[in-house]
Formats: sequence, C-alpha cells, structure tokens
Amino acid sequence: MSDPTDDHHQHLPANPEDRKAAAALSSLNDDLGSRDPTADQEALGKAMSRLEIAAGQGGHTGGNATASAGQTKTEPQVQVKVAKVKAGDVNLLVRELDLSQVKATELLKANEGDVKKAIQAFIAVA
Amino acid sequence: MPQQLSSKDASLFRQVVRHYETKQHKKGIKAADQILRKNPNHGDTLAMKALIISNQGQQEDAFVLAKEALKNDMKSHVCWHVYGLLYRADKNYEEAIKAYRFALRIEPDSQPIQRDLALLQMQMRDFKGYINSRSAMLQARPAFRQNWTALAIAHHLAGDLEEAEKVLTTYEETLKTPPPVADMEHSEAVLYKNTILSEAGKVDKALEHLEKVGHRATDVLAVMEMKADYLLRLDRKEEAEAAYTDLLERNPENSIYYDALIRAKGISEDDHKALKAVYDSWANKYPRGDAARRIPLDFLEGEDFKQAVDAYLQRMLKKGVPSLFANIKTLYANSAKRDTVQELVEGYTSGKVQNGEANGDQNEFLSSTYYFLAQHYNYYLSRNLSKAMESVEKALELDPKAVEYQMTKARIWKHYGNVQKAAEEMEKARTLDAKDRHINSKAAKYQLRNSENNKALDNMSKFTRNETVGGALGDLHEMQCVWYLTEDGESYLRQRKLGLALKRLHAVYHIFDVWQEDQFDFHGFSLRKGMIRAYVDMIRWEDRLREHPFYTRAALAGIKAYIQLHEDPDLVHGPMPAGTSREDDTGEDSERRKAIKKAKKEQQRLEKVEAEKREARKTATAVKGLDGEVKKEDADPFGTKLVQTPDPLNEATKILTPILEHSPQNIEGQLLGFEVYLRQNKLALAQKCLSAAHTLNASNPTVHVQTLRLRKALDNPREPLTPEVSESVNAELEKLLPKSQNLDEWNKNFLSVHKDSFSHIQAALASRQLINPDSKAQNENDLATALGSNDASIESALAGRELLNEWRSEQATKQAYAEKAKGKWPESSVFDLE
Repeated sequence: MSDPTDDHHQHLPANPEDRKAAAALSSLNDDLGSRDPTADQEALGKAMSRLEIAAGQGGHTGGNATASAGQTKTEPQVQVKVAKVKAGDVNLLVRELDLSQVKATELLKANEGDVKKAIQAFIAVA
Repeated sequence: MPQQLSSKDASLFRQVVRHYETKQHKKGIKAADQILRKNPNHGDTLAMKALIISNQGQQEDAFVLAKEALKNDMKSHVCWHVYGLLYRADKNYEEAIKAYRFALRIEPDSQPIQRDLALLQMQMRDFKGYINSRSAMLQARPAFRQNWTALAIAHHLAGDLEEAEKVLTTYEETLKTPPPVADMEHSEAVLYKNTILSEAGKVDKALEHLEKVGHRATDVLAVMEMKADYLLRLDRKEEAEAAYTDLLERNPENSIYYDALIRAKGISEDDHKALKAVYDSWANKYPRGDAARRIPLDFLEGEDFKQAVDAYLQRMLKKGVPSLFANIKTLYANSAKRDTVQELVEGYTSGKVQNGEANGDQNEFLSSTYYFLAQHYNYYLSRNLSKAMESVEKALELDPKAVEYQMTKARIWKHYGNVQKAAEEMEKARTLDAKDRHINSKAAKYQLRNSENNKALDNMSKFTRNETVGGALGDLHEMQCVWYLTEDGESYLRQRKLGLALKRLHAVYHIFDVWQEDQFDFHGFSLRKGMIRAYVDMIRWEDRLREHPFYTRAALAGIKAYIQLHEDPDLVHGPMPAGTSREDDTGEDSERRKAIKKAKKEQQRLEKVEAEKREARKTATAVKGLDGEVKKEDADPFGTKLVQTPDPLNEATKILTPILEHSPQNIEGQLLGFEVYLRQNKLALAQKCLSAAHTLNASNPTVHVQTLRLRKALDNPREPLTPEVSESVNAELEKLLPKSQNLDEWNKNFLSVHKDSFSHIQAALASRQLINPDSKAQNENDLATALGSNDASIESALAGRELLNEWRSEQATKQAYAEKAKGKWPESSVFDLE
C-alpha cells in the first residue's frame, strides 16, 4: 500500500543522474533542439482555458474545488415519471428481494410505484 | 476553539508529520505525546497520533482517538482527512469519501486531500466525482502531463470518448517540439489516444493517427497489431494481408494472425484446398513451427484429414512430445475425426508406420504411442478404461521412469472411481521426480480427493516457505494458492467437516477481496509510470473479477456447506452421519448423541495438536530471531467461529450474490440460489433463480424437482406470504407448472420423455416422493432398478445415494444400493465404507 501523503512529491525523476541520462537519450533520437519551459507554460495556460470553454466547466476557475464536493446533487433525474413510492413498499422489496433501499426505490419508480409490477419485472428473465 | 501551539510545539508537530511519512511510528508517537502533554486537546496532534497507531494495526483505538480529535477541532482539515484515512483503512469507502469532502471544504487547495479523494472515487467507480476531482487537480497543476492523462481516463471510463480524446489532444498541442522517443509516457499516451479513437469506432481516423505517430512508439508489436486490425476493418485487404504477413514473420505461432490473414486474402471458409495451401506455405517457411500444421486439422475432413493428421501424429510421436494428446483432443468433438485418430494410432502400435525410417529411436516412438492411446481411452469422449490401463502398462514397461505415464495411470484410476488407488499411483509418480513441482501438486491434489489432508499438506510443504507464520499452510495462503485452498475446502466439505471447509473457502473469497483491493495502488502508480493502456485493461478486468470460475467454484462449495449447516445444525460439532437428523433422535444413548460426543472429542484432540505445533514453531522462530514484521497466528484455525454462525443462510447469500450477478449463465449457481432462497422463504427470489435456470436448460432434472418444490411452497407456505409476492410468483410459475395441473400426470409425463436418463429418473422419483410420501418403498425399488441402466455413471449413482439419504431410507436399503453400485463398478472405491 502506497503511503498516502508521499507520492505527490515524486512526479519528476528525483535522481539528477537519471535526468541526465534521459536527456542524453533524447538527444540521440531527437535533434530538434531543446525545449523552452516558459513557452510550454504559456501554451498550457491557453490550453487550460480552451479546455474549460470546450467542456463548459468555467465554474472551476480559481481552484474552487468545492464544486467537486457537491457533485451528486445537480444531476436531474432523466424522465422518470414522478411516481409515488411508499416507504412500506420499499421495505417490502428490501425484505423480499434482498435489495438495497436505493435499488428498491429505483425499481418501484420504474414500475410506477406498483409493488406487484416491480416484483414481476424483477423476477422475469432478462 | 482549537488550541494554538507555541512555536516550539508547532515545529514538534511538523516532526510528527515527518515521522509519519517516513514510517518511524515510535518516534512519531513520542513526539505527539510530548505535544499533548502541554496541549491535551490539540485536535491535529490527536489526529496524527490516531493515524500512526492505525498504521500500527490498532484500528479501534485509532478511531476512538480520531473522534476525540474531531470533537476538539471540528474545523480542522487535518482531523477530517485523518478520519477519512481511517475509514479508508477500514474499507468503508463511502464514509471515507464523505470525510475527505469535509476536509476539502475546509481546505479547498489541499493537494493530498484532493488526491486521496480522487483515488477513492476511482476505486468506487464514481466517475462523475472522479472527473470533478481530476479537473480540479488539473487546474492546480496543469504542468504535469499525468494530470491531463488522468482527466482523459476519467472521461474515457465514464463513457465520454469524445471528451477524453479532446483532453489528450489539447495537451499534445501545447508541446512545441515532439518529446523524445525514449519518453515512455508520451509513447503510451499517444497509443492510448489511438485506442480511444478505435473504441469510438473512428477506425479510419485511428489508422491515420497511427500512421502519423506510430513509428515513434516504443511498443512496436502493439502498433503493428493495431494497424493490421484497422486495415482489415477498413477492408483494405491487400495492405492488411501485408501487415499480417509481417506479424506472422514475427510470430508464426499466433492463430489469430492466421485467421486474419485468411480473411484479408478473402478465402472462403469452405475452400479447404486454398486454406491448406496457405498453412502449408507457412509450415514450409518455418519447418519447426506447430501452428501451421495443427490448425488445418480443425477444418479438414475425410481423406484429407486422415492424411494430414497421420503426418502430424507421426511427427509428434517420433519427437515424443508429451502434450500431443492435449493438443489433439479438441478434435474429438467430431466423432469421425476421433475414430480416424484412434484407428491411425492403433495402427502405429502394430508397426503400420508410413515411410518408416528406422533412424529414430523406435522405443521412444512406441512408448509415446502407447502413452497417447492411454490418454485417448481415458478421455471422456473415447473412454475405455481397461484399454487405457493396458496401454499405460505397456508404455510404462518401455519407460518405467516416465513421470507423465505414471501420472496418466493415476488418472485412469480416478476415472474408475477409485480415489485411493489414484492417490497412491500419483504419489508413485511424484517419487519419480521429487523436484518437479507440477507432479508434487498433482499428488497433493489427489490426496485431498482421498481425504488425506495432512499428507497433502506435507507434500506441498516440500515447495513452500515453511518458516512463514502458520507454516506451510500459512505460506499457501500468503502466496494465494487458490487451487489448493479450494481443493482442501472441498475435501473437508466431502468429509462434512464444515468448520475447516468454510475456513478454506473463505480464504479464497478473501483472496478475491485482496485482488479487488490491490487495484488501489495502481490508480496513482500507473499514472506516475505512464502505463495507461495496461491500467485501463486492468480496471476493466477488475470490474469482472468475480466472473472468474475460481470464484464461482469456491463460492458454490461454500453455499453447499452453509445449506448443510442449516439442514443439520449439529454439524457445528463436526461430521455427522448423512441421512439422519435431530428429529429422528430420541433416546439418551442414540447414535447421534454418540456421534456428537465423538466429534467434540476429535475437535479437542485437533486443537491440542495445533497448539503443540504452534509452540514448536514459536521456539523455532525465536532461535532464528525476529525479522521486524510481527504477524499474528490465526486466531481461529479450525473455522469454529465461521461454523457457529447463527444464520448460515444469510451467510450463504453473501457469497451467492456475486455469482448471480457476474455469472448468471452458471446453472449450478442458479440451482443453489434456489435452494438458499426457498429455505429463507423468499419465494420471489427463488422464482427468479428457477426461471433463469429454466431458460438456461429447460430439461435439467433438478429444474423439474425445484419447479415442484416451489409450487408446493407457494400453495402451502411455511409462513404466510405477502400477497403481492405470492401473486407475482404465481403469475411467473404458471408458465412452468400451472396450479390446475395434475401433479402426478405432470411427473409421469416427464418420466416418459426422459425414461432413458438415470438423472432424470432420479428427478422423477424425487418428485413422486414429494407428491406422495407413501410411495417411498416403490421409489427406492425403482431407483435401484434404474441403477442397472446403461446410462448410469458413477457420478449419477452417487447422486442417487444422496437421494436415499434425503428420503431417510433404512440402512439396509442404502447398503443394498451401494453393493449393487459396487457390483457395477468393481474397481471403484467410492461406494465402500459408510
């Protein structure tokens, strides 16, 4: 098991020898000159903004990571008819079909809250 | 309010963190205690201490401490982070995610918390959350390529191939100059992008991309295979042909290349001549190869087949290739081919060898031939055990030291139904080459089949690290030797020693849990190393982990053990005679009481022996000295705790669910699922299993009996049923067995359809017994008669004996049945004893 707090320090080859060796290797295969790290950074910045616009995720700017904390709440339920689901019915399905609360509720919703229909749908061979 | 630390204590706290990171736990605790002496309520320090003692394995104390830390400092991200880490170590991932989220809300810019959260989301396959986390991590550190790749993987696995491709492309565009060829991360990322294109169905785009970048990729073979595949899919036949020719020149043994080459050449499957010509050309080009000679045997027919297989067999027999039969037997699905092979090889023994060059070792040719025949007559599609035995004896006469010949002899005894002889012969084979691990394992396996668990372990110990905690058995656990644990568990199950059986089988489930857990390390590691394609493959494999037949096999055995335990709770003490129950028990001094007493005594004896062994091991390791890591001995070596479960059926459902979910095609899983759910009176679930089994094989004999049992359970429930359940099940069951149906007639009809099959006759008799309990004597009679039929096999005869147990037949009846079976299979041992 990797230690949870140590591995973000290890992105680059730590050993200068390794880096030198890598550089030597690459100059063998690649004679297009050395890279300019600052230009890279600029390009990356542009790339980031492009990505954000493309993905429509503008809300993330400024390192506002709380968006990830609330990620489950906004997803709209896709075209499920608002079916009345009784707690007693859910419990019945949990008991008889060994389902979790969540799954039992889903099953009931998919079958318009009708217990009999839900059970039949569940036991029918797919 | 959280306490503020003095500057001296603050630096001490930093030391605690450093000690934790370098795993110097003792120093860490010491420093933490030093801070706590002055600041007893400092939340962060308490949390760090909790984390350290959790790493030392004191999970419960750690939780207590972490809760105290949180109480003192609810607004500390350190406390919440630690709380999450503890839950994570406890494998309660949902709670861990919640705790991480709290921590992140307090400290949104913390990289370690964000990363820990992301890893967990991946482990839980919460792709939506993972995409969010990965986006945030990319925001924070866009300069690291792995952050880009990780976001692409997140989109890819969530099913958004477009977005994944876009992320990868966006990063590539920032590269002013192409990275060096030696840059593995780049090479893999490029190929990864290519696989995404191909998965999205954009084959032409993928090919175009591959041609542009492929020559710089490190994984040359993968590039060649992908290119060839794309060309073929795009119907660019000539180029595809060339590509597959290149691949075959690299590896002329890969049958997939041959198949693709033939499709590229546009040769029809029926054009045997043209097909043979292709293979022949490769066989000529690589005369030492096998694939080009073997594959044509699959499609050739008649005289062509005979010629080809003759040449193939003679070539291999002259070389004395031991795996020849294993390579040939798949042809036996076609009975004409089977007969041709038999005729040819029989001919070789009488000297009918074409162009018989006498330069080879005639003896070796002959012994290989007899060996082949022995395997041939031992194989279920061409079985004739007396001929098999004859052949293997001849082979052994020519070469008495050949391990595989002796091994085949043991196998023949196994098929005779004589596990004792089989184990003895296999042990003999083992002594022929004591350094061969394969034959060693085989010998152990056959001993387990013969209920010689100690002998088997003793054999295994010749290849294990016996200084491991728990000795040889401990090492087999540590090395995750699944086959041995499964065989050992099944062996104990046959002996009705359920504690030990459950112990071993649970060890197998545990190994699967470990495999599931193992992927955790790779969410970070693979990205760091850049091996993305392998990582994605691994993730997909993990998603289907419990489809593996090893899981199913161990789980089925475990379910059987739990069902037996439910049927006879006295098995908790040790083996009880089959076919009796508590209810039969009346007198003080009954057989059953004696059996319980005996079992308890045996249990005590075993515990004493084990304690002595441990003592011996302890002193032995003490001499060798401590090598740092202290591992605890198993606290429950006999599975006593497992077998004492108050609700065996509930335990059974836990291991049953993955089978039903991942291997719904396994009929035995469905049948056992029925057994569990029916006993739990969960008829809807029982019906689901029954319907599934019926769809898989409507004429399965057990399905017949189970249909009847469900009908009876529904019509006369043990406990009142919920009306919705009983109505739903009834609607479904009507399709299999209508309520109005006369059961007698229904059963008679079944019997007349399947009157030639012993298994089906058993099912019909079992049903008749259920319909009319007074028919017992007649059923016993009919069962014995049916045992004489040609269809009866040793396995079905054993199932018949189980039926007698179920009916609680008299000892004399069972005896007579066993004797009749023994008369039918005189070489067998499985009907002896009891």
